[in-house]
Amino acid sequence: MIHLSTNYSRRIAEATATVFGESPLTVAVQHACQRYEKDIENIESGRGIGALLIAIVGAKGQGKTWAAKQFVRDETIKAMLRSGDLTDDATVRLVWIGPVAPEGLDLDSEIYIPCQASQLAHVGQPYVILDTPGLTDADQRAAKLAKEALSLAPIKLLVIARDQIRAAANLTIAHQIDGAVCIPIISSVEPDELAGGSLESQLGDDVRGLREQLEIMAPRSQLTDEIRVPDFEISGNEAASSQVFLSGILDRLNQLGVTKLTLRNARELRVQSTNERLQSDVAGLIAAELPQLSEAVDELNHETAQLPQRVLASLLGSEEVLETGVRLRLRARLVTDTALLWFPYRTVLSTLNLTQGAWDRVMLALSGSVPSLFGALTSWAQNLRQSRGFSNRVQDGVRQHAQQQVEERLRPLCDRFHQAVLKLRPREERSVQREDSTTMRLLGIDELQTRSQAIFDRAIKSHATPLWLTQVLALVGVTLFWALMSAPIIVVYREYFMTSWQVFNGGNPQLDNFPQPTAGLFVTSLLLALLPLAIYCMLVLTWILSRSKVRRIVGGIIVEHEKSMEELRAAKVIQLQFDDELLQQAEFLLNLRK
Amino acid sequence: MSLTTTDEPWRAIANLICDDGEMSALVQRFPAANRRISLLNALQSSEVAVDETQLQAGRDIQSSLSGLTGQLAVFESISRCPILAITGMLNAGKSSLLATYLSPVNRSRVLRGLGNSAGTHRFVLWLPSVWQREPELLSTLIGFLSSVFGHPPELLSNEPAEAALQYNGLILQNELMVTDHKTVDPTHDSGTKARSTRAVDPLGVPLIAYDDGLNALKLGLADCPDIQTGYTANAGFSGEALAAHRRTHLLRIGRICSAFIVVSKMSSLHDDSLLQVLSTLRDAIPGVPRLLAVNKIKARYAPETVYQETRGLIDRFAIRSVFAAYDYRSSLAETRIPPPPPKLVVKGGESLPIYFEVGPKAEHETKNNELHYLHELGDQLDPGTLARESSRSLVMQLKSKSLAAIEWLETNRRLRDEQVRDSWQTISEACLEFMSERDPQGRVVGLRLQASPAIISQMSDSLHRTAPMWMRFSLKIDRTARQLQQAVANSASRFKILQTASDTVSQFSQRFRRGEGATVVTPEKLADTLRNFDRHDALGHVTKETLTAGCAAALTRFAAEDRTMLDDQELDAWSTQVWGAMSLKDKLWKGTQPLAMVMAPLLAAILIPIDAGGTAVLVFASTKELLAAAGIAALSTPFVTGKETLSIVQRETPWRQLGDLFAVTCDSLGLPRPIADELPLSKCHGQARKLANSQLDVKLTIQTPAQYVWEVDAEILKSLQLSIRHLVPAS
Repeated sequence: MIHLSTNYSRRIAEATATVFGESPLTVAVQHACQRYEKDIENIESGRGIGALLIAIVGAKGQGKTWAAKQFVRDETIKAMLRSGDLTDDATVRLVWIGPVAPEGLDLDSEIYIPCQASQLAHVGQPYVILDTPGLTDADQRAAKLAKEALSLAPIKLLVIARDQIRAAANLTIAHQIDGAVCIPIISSVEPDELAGGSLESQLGDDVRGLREQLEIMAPRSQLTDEIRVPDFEISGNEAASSQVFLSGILDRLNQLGVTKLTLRNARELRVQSTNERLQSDVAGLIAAELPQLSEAVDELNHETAQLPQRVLASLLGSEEVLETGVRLRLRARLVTDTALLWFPYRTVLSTLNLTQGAWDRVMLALSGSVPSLFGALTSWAQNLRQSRGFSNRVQDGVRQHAQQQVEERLRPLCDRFHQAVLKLRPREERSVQREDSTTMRLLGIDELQTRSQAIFDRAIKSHATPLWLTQVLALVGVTLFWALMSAPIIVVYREYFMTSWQVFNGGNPQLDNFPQPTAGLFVTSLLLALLPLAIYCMLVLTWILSRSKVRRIVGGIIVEHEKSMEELRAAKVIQLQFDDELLQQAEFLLNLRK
Repeated sequence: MSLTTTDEPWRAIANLICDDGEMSALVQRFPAANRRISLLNALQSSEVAVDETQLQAGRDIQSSLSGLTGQLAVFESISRCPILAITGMLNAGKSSLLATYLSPVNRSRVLRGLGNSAGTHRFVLWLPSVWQREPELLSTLIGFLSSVFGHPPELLSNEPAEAALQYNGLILQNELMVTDHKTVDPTHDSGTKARSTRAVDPLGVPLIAYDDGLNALKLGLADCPDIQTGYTANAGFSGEALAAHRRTHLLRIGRICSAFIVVSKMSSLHDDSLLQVLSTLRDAIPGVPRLLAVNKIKARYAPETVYQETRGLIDRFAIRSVFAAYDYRSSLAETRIPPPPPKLVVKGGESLPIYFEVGPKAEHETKNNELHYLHELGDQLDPGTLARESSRSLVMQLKSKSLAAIEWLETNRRLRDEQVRDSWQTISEACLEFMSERDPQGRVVGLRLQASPAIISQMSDSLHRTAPMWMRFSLKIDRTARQLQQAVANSASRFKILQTASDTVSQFSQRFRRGEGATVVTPEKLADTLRNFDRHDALGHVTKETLTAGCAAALTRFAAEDRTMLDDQELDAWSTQVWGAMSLKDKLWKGTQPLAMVMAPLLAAILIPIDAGGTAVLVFASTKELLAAAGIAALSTPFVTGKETLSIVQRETPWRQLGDLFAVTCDSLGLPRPIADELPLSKCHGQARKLANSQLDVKLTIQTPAQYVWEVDAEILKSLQLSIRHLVPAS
């Protein structure tokens, strides 16, 4: 892995490596990042030259070095700058000319020619000229140098030969120097074309066309009027061409009014365009893989967006189960609300409740943890064995169940996503086992549970049998029981008292005279009394827990829950915590194309 | 030299490549269908090509090959009209050079100049006017042009102004030619066609013009657009993309050209774009003469210097000769410009570049005042030699393309093998996924059994046989239950009866379906797992429906045909141990169960397929899991002692089942079965182990197999290679 110092390029390189592995594509992106870093460094530091830096750029053989030469007055220095069509004349190194040397001069690819400010054409402030090789040089090394140098100076002289105005190379260069101040130099213009008439207007059209294209390619650049330099090879008058060039340059620089502020602005613009270039370069590099990647990401995102709702819906469960829960609570409440006084009505009621509760418990156990939303209902089971364990299970259940649901639904999607992305990697890297960097959790379940309990309690409370009615029902039940049960008891007591009376009044009653009821009698009367009571209790329960009433309560609870879930989801209390590194990196790469 | 002598070798190759009959080069090996197709068809067949990239590469080779064979076939007629292409750098003077060959009257129809409005943005063919009188030749030429560009050429207007517009990229509807060399009558042309041609890229519609001046030259000249232009008024795109687009078109026109003149300015000699043009020509159209014309030379450079500058290019790109023209616009150059060639007719006031040969040889010649002018092209290139050289180039291209085709086949075979191997690996991993028992770290530690009725009854029979005498009665009841189940399975109203089946059984089948204690495999699940394990997209082209259908067929067939059994003796030893290890209390408890709980999971395992509504469902469970599900493992703590025997019992059987399942899945999806050496590996206990070779017969039922395997007929390949080797281009 190469070393990258800026956050932006590092982020891009990392994302590419994560998604595409060690593929040629990653290497290409890393190179783009390295280029970017070099550009940024060039822009930020400008090689430590405090003075104004003017770079002369362009395609091969446009007359860049000739232009550089025109700034210099010193003849010996002029002689060092060779310009012409021969191989030996070609500029293959970066040439710095000026009073200040650049930092970190690389002698293999750069030359610094010291030149006093007085020996340079006067532009109003000290400056350094940078002459660069042709961008289209067949010498790859020189072309590369030229490319790298494009980011260097805030002011660029873009030299274009008249007959190369529509060449693609100019547009490439313009794109690379976006943000900088750009002075187009049209060199080798036939003298006839400067003499007015149709030829000049044709040149004007061509230049207009060029400017339009340059503006498209470098929208941030400040593009000055071009300078048309006559072809001295045709006219034979080099001095005149030089004069036109120099005065043109001075004019343009004056017009620009090159101040610190303009330069700073230019720097910001250049950084901005460099960022964009990296972005579009990388997007271009990965363009071939983007459709698959975006498909995979979109699918995963689509599914994860739906997930919380689906999981919550599954938590609510079926109405039947909810009905059971409601019935349980209503019944339990009825029992607790009935005072102990109402014996044996309460006993029978709770016995019925218990047996029924046991069945309900089985149902609850089978149906997963759905009713556990209503943690409060566990109170009904307090007097049952293992109630503590059961209630714990029920309470933890909802979280576990939600988590399990999330895992179960998300894991395959996530795996499929990883699988799809892995296929973008080189063959040998596909089998790499991914480290489990994915966290998936549904947050806000506790809050939902609390609210759920409140909703449930509220619903039960509002629909519970009123206390007075409970007592009336109990009174009727107890009356019913004692009406049937009391007769034999009264008879027995009466006989008992009468015999006792006789004893105290001096009578002579025998032991036989005391009532000697058989156990059978009591059992029979108990059973006879209990049976109607049980039936009565059943009726009471049936009435209290009437189907329509339970349904109404359940309907209300469900509506309230949906409302509450929607609220929680909107308030982002319930949300899917899903961090997948690969997904993040893939999304980052996808965003590059925007 | 007669062209017919070169006929035979390339025809032999063409026959070998194109033959679609008995002698065709490719044979379908899987599914074995005795189908054969020609090499040419194979290159563009999606059955043969392993993926889209390969298919595209194959199609490219195919179109070049069929183009070349076609070209060689029509070559005899075209060879009489050699065409020379003038190409080169932006504003280097291509059209100006071309104009020098034309009669003065037609020069005004050639668009020249530096401005954007004077750019040549079409291919323009200037042909000797005598060719017009040979309609057959012309129609062959135009037909060929149409096939190369995909569009009939257009006649250049006689009006200079209109011609200039055409040069600049305008297509004139009424000038479009058809193969029988008549202009298209716009009134007969339907409106839709006229509209559609408007959307045609002008670069793809060459222009044709005739000139008397070329009659003596006996050559056609093609004026080419440069490849540097980054934007034009009517191009849809700009920048490097446009330049690249133009380069590809240069290759098209190159196919009808017998020689090239590359025009460059002196200052562009070391420009990358010139190198691009030259390398494109050298690589794509080898063996034809290439001349370099250097234009607009400044007076200060002597001819020798110019030659010196071009030395590198001459050596690198096999340039036959270099011509120089001094910049006639410059007054300084006047002394350098030689007198115009005698045959060049110059109208008054017209300036034309005068090219003369430079070089060591030319130096010698100049001493004798004998200049070699580029204008006297006929001296340089006589049509007979050009024809020979063209034919040579075509034969060389045919050779290289045939070799490329053979290489493509080889690559394709390698990739196909790889893909088939990947498919096998995918299937074996997916099958193993269901059958493997894993430790908490996810490593495979053993295999589950497919709880097939055969194995289940074998196990329960063994448990019966070895049970204590007093328990047998209660176990017998279970056997009855099992028999009932068999009846249930066969009856139409099984669901109804099933609902009344014992609670225990349905409880277990529910547990199994939830994946506790056993794995239930449905076709959808198998298809999903296959997709998940398909790391290299070997089955990526199989649609979901086909895959699921194939999986269903595989599971059905496996359930029906897999006859893998456990070893009876070993099984008995194990069941004895199971009973022996069980405490008396447990035995009593089990023995007194009304329906022996022991057998419930076994029964449940076979019930699942019926319960799930089809036979295409398999249940994989280890014996341990089945017993654990029954609670035996929990009840009999020392059960662990039976573990070793257990692993012996089911040591090999599941591997045989895995081999069978793998084989039937291969068959159902339409994949060849691997031979013993190619069987995929599976990891168990950290060791790689080869799948067992299945004894099941190969049965292919699928309509579109997942993989086709085509093989090159070795004999034909050999003779093709031999013919290619013997293909010596005529010198």
